[in-house]
Order: sequence, then C-alpha cells, then structure tokens
Amino acid sequence: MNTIDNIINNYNENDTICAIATPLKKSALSIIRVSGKNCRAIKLKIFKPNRYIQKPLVATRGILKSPFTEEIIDDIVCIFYNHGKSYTGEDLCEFHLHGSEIIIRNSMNLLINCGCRLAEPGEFTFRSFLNGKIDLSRSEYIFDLMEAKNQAIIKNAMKIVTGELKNFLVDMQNLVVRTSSFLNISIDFPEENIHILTNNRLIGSISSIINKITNILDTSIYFENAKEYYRTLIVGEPNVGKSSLINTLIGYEKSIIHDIPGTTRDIIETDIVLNNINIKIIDTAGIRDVKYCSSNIEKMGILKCKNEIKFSDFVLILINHQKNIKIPQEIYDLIIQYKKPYCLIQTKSDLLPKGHVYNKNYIYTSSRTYKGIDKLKKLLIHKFTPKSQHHDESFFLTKKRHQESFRKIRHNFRKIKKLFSDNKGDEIISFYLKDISSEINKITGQSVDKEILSSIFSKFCLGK
Amino acid sequence: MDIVVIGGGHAGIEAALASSRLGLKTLLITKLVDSIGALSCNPSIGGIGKGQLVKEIDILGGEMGRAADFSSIHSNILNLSKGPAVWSTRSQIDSNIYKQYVLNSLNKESSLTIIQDEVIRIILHKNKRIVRAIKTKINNIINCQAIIVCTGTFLKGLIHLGKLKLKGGRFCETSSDRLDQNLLEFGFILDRFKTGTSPRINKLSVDFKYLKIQHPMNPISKFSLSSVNSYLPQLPCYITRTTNKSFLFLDKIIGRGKSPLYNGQINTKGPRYCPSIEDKIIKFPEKKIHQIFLEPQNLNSSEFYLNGLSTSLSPINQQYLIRTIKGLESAQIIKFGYNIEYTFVIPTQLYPTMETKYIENLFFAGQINGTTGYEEAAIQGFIAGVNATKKIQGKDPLLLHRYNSYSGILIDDLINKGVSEPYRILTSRAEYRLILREDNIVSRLFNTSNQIGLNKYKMFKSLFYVQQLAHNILIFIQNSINFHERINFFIIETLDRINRDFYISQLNYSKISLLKISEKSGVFIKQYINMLVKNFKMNKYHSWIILKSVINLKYSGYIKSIRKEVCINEKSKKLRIPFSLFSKRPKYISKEVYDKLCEVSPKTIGDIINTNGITPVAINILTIMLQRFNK
Repeated sequence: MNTIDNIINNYNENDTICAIATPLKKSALSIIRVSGKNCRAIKLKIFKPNRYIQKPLVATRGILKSPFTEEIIDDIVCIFYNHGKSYTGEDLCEFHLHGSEIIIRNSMNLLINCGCRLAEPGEFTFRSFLNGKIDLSRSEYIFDLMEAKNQAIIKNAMKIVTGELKNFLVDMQNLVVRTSSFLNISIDFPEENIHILTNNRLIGSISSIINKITNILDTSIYFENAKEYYRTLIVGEPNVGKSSLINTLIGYEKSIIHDIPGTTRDIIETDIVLNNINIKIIDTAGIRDVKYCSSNIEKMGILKCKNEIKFSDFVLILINHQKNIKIPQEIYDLIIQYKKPYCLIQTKSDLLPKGHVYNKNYIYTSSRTYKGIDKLKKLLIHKFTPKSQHHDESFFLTKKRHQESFRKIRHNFRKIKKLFSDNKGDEIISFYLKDISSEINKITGQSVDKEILSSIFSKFCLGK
Repeated sequence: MDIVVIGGGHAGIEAALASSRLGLKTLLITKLVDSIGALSCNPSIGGIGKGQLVKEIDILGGEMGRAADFSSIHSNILNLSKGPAVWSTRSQIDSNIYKQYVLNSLNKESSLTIIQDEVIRIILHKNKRIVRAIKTKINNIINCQAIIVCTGTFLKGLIHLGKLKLKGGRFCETSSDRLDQNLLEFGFILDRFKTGTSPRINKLSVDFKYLKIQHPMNPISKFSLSSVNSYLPQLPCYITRTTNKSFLFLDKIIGRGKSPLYNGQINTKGPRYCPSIEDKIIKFPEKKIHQIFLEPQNLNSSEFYLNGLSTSLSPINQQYLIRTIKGLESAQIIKFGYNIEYTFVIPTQLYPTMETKYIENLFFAGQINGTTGYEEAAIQGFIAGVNATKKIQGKDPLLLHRYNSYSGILIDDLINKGVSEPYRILTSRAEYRLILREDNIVSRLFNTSNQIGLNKYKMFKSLFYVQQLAHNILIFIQNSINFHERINFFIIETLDRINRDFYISQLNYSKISLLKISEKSGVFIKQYINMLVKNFKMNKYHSWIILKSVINLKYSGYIKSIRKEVCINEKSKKLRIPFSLFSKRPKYISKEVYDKLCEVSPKTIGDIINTNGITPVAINILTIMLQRFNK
C-alpha cells in the first residue's frame, strides 16, 4: 500500500516530475524523463538545439546547458512530446544523454534546480493512468515485455497488448448483459413466456466461456511453473550417432563427429528453440559398460552422464539397429529410478536392411536422410507444451490478480449454469452476474480501488 | 391551512391522509370529488415491484394497502415458481368499493377538509421564493404554508381518440390548463409524456366458451399488516388472444395512417413497459398472436377491462378490432380506450424529500414527476405529505435509501437520473434485489416507520419480534456446525417442497398450526420444527418464523456479501468533496464530467453516485484522490 499512498499523497498536478529512465550504470546512453506543467518552460531554459527551433516529436540534437552557471553539461538528443501525444498525457520531454554517472548526476541536479521534483517509483505511469492514457489490462503486460525470459511470454504479451485480452473481456461482458436482460424479463414480465430456446443458447454460450477460461488458466499456471529451458539428455553407446543427431536438430555442425568411439568426452550443451520452447540438449560421452571403459576420461564422462540424468527433463536413449538397448543397465535403472520420461531412438535407420520389422515403440531416425527428425521434433514439442496449448493459440495470464479474477469469474459462471439448468434461482443468478461484471471491470480498470492500483504500481521502478 | 394538496388521485390521497393524520390542517382540493381514488387504467393494485411498493407504503403508515385489501376481488402472488426475493402480491380491485373506502378514510380525518374546485395559480411571498397561497377558478384565495401538487395527467392533458383530439385529464374530465404556465414562470423545466388505456366491454356480450379461466389464489393474499374483517367474493379473470384477423386489420389500419401513435399525431414518449396494441404489432411483427386478459372491473357491474389492448384508434376501429378477438365476436364496448399526452415536471428539479429546488415548501408528487402507475404515485404522495409536515414542524425529513426499499430506488432514480420515458418500478432496477423482499419488510422499515409515527398496529411490534427471532435462529444454526451442515443441504430442497398454501399463509401472517404444516411438507421440516420449538421455546402457532428462517438461511451467504458491499458504498458515499475542486478542473477529470460536476455542486461523493454524465470511472478516481483530504 505504501507505494500508491506515496504517489497519491504527493500528487500535485502543478508539479513537474523528473527521473532517470535507464539503469544507473555506465552505459552508452542514458535517458532522463521530465513530465508536467513546466516541462516546456524548463526545456527552453536548459536545452539549446543546434539549429532551428525544436519541433515536437522530432529527435533534436543540441546542448544541455545550465542557465545559472553557463556550464555545458552534455551534448544530447532531446525529444519533446506535447501533451496530446505523450506517455503521461502531459507535456513530456526525454533527454538522451551520454551514459556517464557524472553527467547523469549533473543533469538531474540541474533539473531539480530548475524546479522539478524527483518522481516516485511508478509516478509517470500513475499520471498516465489519471489522464486516461492507458488501459490497465494492457499496461501490465507491457511490463512483461520488459521482463520476459521466455519467447512464449513475449509472444503472449504482444497478443495482449494488441488487444486480445480486452476483446475476450468485452465478449464476456456482452454475455453477462445478455443473460441479465433475459433474467430481468423473466422476472419482471412473467407473463411473457420466454422461449426455452434462448435459455439453451445462453447455457451453450456460458459453457464455451467456461471452457475457454479453463484453457487460459491451465496455460497460465503452466507458464508460471514453466522453466526457462528444458534439459534433454542424449545417452547411448559410443558412436551410436548422438552428436550427428544433435547436429541434424540444430542444422549445423556443432559437435565433432568422428568414427572413433569415444569422441565426445565432455558434456556439450546446445540450445535450440522449438515452437517457442527453449530446449537445452545435452550431448554426452558414449556409454559402455564400465567394465569396457578404457580410459579414466571415459569413466569420468560416464560419471558426468549419470549426474545429468538427475537434472534432466527428458532422456533420449539412442540405440543401434543391430543390437538391443545396450546402454548399461545402471544408467537405465537410474532413468527409471528418477522417473524421467524417455524415448527410444533407433539411429542410422537408413542402414536398416529391407524387410526389417519396425518396432512401434522406437522412433527411427537417420541423420543422413533426415528420416524421423520431424517426428522427433514433434515429440519434444508435445512433451514440453502444456495440454491446452495443443488446441488453440489463445493468450494466457501472467498476473496473479488477473488469474484470481478469472477464477472467480469461472466459479460464478459455473454456478449460473447450474442454476439455469435446474431452472430455478433467477434472483440469485443476477447476484452472480453482478459479481462477474465487477471482476471484469477490475481487470480493465473501469473500476479501480487503491488495492488494485497498489498491486500494479508496486512493481514499477523509478522513471516508469 | 397548513398544507394544501392539489389533486385527488393516488398521490393526493396519501399526501392528504399523511399530513392530516400527523395533525396539520390539510385541504384536499380536486376538480371532481366523485373521482377521488379512481383507477384510470387497469383495475388492479400491485404486481412485480409494485406489490413491494404497496407493502412499503403500508408499513410506513400509508393507506393504499388497506384500501386494496378491502376491495380485493381476485388476489394472486406472482413469480411463486421463482425464489422468495421476487414474489410479488397483486390484486384485482372493485373500483367502486375502492373509491368508497378511500373517500370514507378521508372523511374520517378531522384535520382534513375536501373542496371541489380548480387551482389556477400558486402565489408566493413577496420577494421570496416560498409558497404563500393558492388561487382557485372561482377566485378563492387560500393561504397555506406548503403545497403538494399531485395533478397526475391533468396538466395540459390531451386525449387522442383516432383523429379526435380532446382536452382532458381523463376521459370526460377537464384538463388543467393554467397551472403549467404558472410553473413555467417559476422557472421549472417541463416536458410531455403520453400514456394509454384499453377499452372496457360489457361482460354480458362475451362468449366464454373458448376463453381460458384464471382463478384467484386461495388463501387470499393481502398487502397490509392490519387484518381484514372479511373478504369480498373473489371473481375469476379470463384469458383470450388476438387472432390473425386482428393482426391483419391492425397492419392495414396502421399502414393507412389511422393510428395517431404512428401517423405523427402523437410525438411524445410513452412507457416502454406498457405498450399499446399498435406498438406490439409494429415492434414485434413476428408475433402474430397476443394475449388479452379480461379483468372484472366491479363486483356488481358488467364491465370487463381488456388488459393488453391499450390503443389510440378511433371508436369505430376499436369496435372492429375487438370483434376480431376470440370470444369477443359480439362484444359491446362500454368505454373506449384512448391515449393521453400530458405535461410533467422533470424530476431532477426535486430534492429527495420531494420538495422542489426552486420554490421552498412546494412539493410535487405522482405522475406529474414523470412516473406511471398508481403505486408509484401513492408512495411519492405519502413521502411528500410526511416531509411537508416535517418541514413545517421543523423536524428531520423522511429519507429512504436504495438499500432498504424500492421506494428509495424510485426516488433516487427520479432525482438523479431523471426520466426519458414514464418511469415504472421493476425489480431489475434494484441492485440489491435479494435484500428487498416482500417477506422482510418489517425488519427493513421498522425503525423508519417508528420515526414517522403513523403506524399504530398492535401486530406490528410482535411481528418485529418475530423477525428478530428468525434472525436469531439463523445465527444459532450458523454457529452450530454439525446441524448447519445437515441443514444447509436440505434447506434449499425444503423450500421447494413446502406447499403453496403454506407460503401464502406466511405472507399473510395468518396462523396455521405447526403440526399441520409438518404433515404436508415432509419429514425433514418436521425435524426442523421440532428443533425450533425445543431451542426457542416457540409457540406452536409461530409458524411464520419457519418460513422466515428458511428464507434467511437460503439467502444468508449472498446477503452477507451484499451487506458488505452496501457498507463499503455507504462509506465512500460520505467522502467530502472539497470546495477547491470547483475552482479549477483537476487534470484527472475530463471536461464533460467536470461541467456536470459543477452543475450538480455535490457536497459528498454520495450526491453524484447515480448522476447521468458522471461516469463510474470518474467517480472511482475521484474517490481515490479524495481520500487524502478525508484523512
């Protein structure tokens, strides 16, 4: 509550605020933002464009100079946004400075001497909100764009920022209104004999919304627990074709391939991205039974492999067509013991004799002819994708408060569906409908209270 | 005179009775004493939302409930198949007996005088905007301290009957054409609405063979808490329908421009929820057949009111139309239906006490404020009467709220939102439907009623005790965990299995033996009753507690969260709006909202919560920003 209280208590629309928008480290560029009533006046005082008069929205090169000491602070680029077109809805100015700590410090001091106040964390966005410039549901996902570690999250954020969440909420609100009207007629005009058809159609719409919400929630939970990447371990006998397989998967030669068994000594990690999922493939030394190991290095390689099993998410067991599973029993036991999902892959299957009986428990691949590679890729994608995402490409929610709201909404819709089907409790249904409406409003920002604002703004840093 | 009430309609009656019973010298002045209490449209009182209003009037001390019970000839509870929150009582009324009863009540009051005359002018004090006197058509000037205007549809009333345009407030009654000029001079903004009524036919000319009969409910439901000595004989209603022939006829006649509603003759807005038969044909062309109800007008007369056939067609066309309806092939019209346009006052010019904002001690009540319906008019009249009295006596006014009564909702909507069509009360206007039920009226309004001081029933106090007891039972059950679990599951089922007679007896507060109920309603309710008798030492006749406690239990979860919401809303409503807000527009309020804000000049958030033009988002943001001033 403190963040938002600070912002609200210190809010004075006559203040002009300033803050550093970039991280406070040595870097190529730093950006300082100024927003407020006196922004334009202050800018005129301290920024001298190189030529002509500065036009709004045009990046202008010039000098930042103190009017008090005549000292030149920096050679900068300045962009001025007039209040119709700025982030905050007020006059806003961005100074792009060289990223030296001293320059930043001097610039900030200058601004404060000119009458600016240091902004509270999140204050810029707060002003943006007050001036009706941002839609709450989108603003929070812009945040994701900044922080995402995962391709899928970015893709999702883009979907939401371009309006998918809002559209879904609008659809839900429309359904609420339709159901509400139907109910009101049924209660206030009982002699009208409302068609059963309308009733069934409504139940159908409600069911499909419930399903969609479940999809979204499942996907959201999955991504909450989602890992940055999935460790896929490749084990197999020496020279069975592990490195070839990896090279084929990634498309170029990363691992060294030789015909001599025992070429790969160390663990080589390769990152690939399949369907927006980050997979780390771990290539190991070929494993033979310890009693066959010739060198200590080989033995160490095997030890490392055993360690990897513990931390892997999936194991690809590669075998050669002429023999059975010939990785050492202890490795196999370890995989089973740690309950790791695995898949059996028969490599070099272009060399299989004609008439070979294909075992459907294996995937047959050939790194030379690319046979089975697509099938393998599909399997990996399937393994690491949450169930719901198999069906549609809908967005998901990364914010806890959105997930909570969606849960409440789904709970209410379920109750409504049951009451409708049992054909009673009309007056109670309206109670649930009202609750759904208010939850939707909380997400879009149509209804705000301090709690909501606080949960949003607490994450923002200075300069945002 | 202390108070002058202009108009003897439903609003005027309640206003006059309220002020005279509270001890002030009251004058009821009406153009036609014989039409006091007339039911201009359908001969029934109550209905969805309206039944609740009548019960509220009754508990607060008004007369409509008793008048309706006295003259009831067919009673019913609507929405019985749905939950208790939307049960509404409705009665067909013998209109002659109703008028007689009302006139008797008026005559019984010693402080009340009735005069037959027409008010043409309201006179103010010199240089002040306070009422001083009225002037009548026969040049009588009567001094008074307050005036309550209840002229209904009489201000510049214009009746349309086909091509004919007749001046009148009701058929064959003259309109009032001087008073509206007076109001304009005072600075009030007026507007016009229209409403309509159906023809009445001769019962003896109806062929009942193919009509569906609708029997009244037994036992009889009543509105009032007071007892009725005996009921009038109950009559059935009949249901028929229009035919394809009716549809074709109407289609043709409207096409030829014979309906004033659709040929440009009438341009004013009418009530959306009481459409004329022409409206129904035009707006719902796929629906070829419409239901028509035949409602008895009086016990002893042969008049039937045709509900659902409101029209503005010429007499000849009405006669033709009637004859296309099943069973009415030889029907004879006694009174023709018609549409009437009238002037009303835009209600945003009133305070919640029904006093006008521009002239002190001038009150408006009833259809003149843009409402439609007898019950809506009556409650306004009652409130105006009480508040005029309180104002003169220097006491606190009577104010009702959205969260404790439908009357509160009605007034709040009128005052804050204004009207775009004649306002009719509906349960969907209530956000808190679950706590505004017919069965919890005593707990809702007991305190308010006591403050007014008009209600003197002995039964009243014991009923309040009963409601408290039902509440205590609820708490007891909620606190005894094991029992609660078992009960919770069964309670909803039980409510559905209890028979209808039991429901009605409960709503009427009549006594039925507990044993009788348990016989009919199943094993579980027997256990429940035993538990109640044992733990609460209940009298075996206090059976209505069972229904109350069961209803309370069913809704308890929802009511809890509704009350929480009400509490939060009420708290934020009290947030003060500082004067500094009006000197300069803050950045976070848009220009349109700010203009509206300055127009309303609210003192607290509560004043603008339902105002048109001030968006919910603006109110939210304002609430957040104002919290720093209110620390």
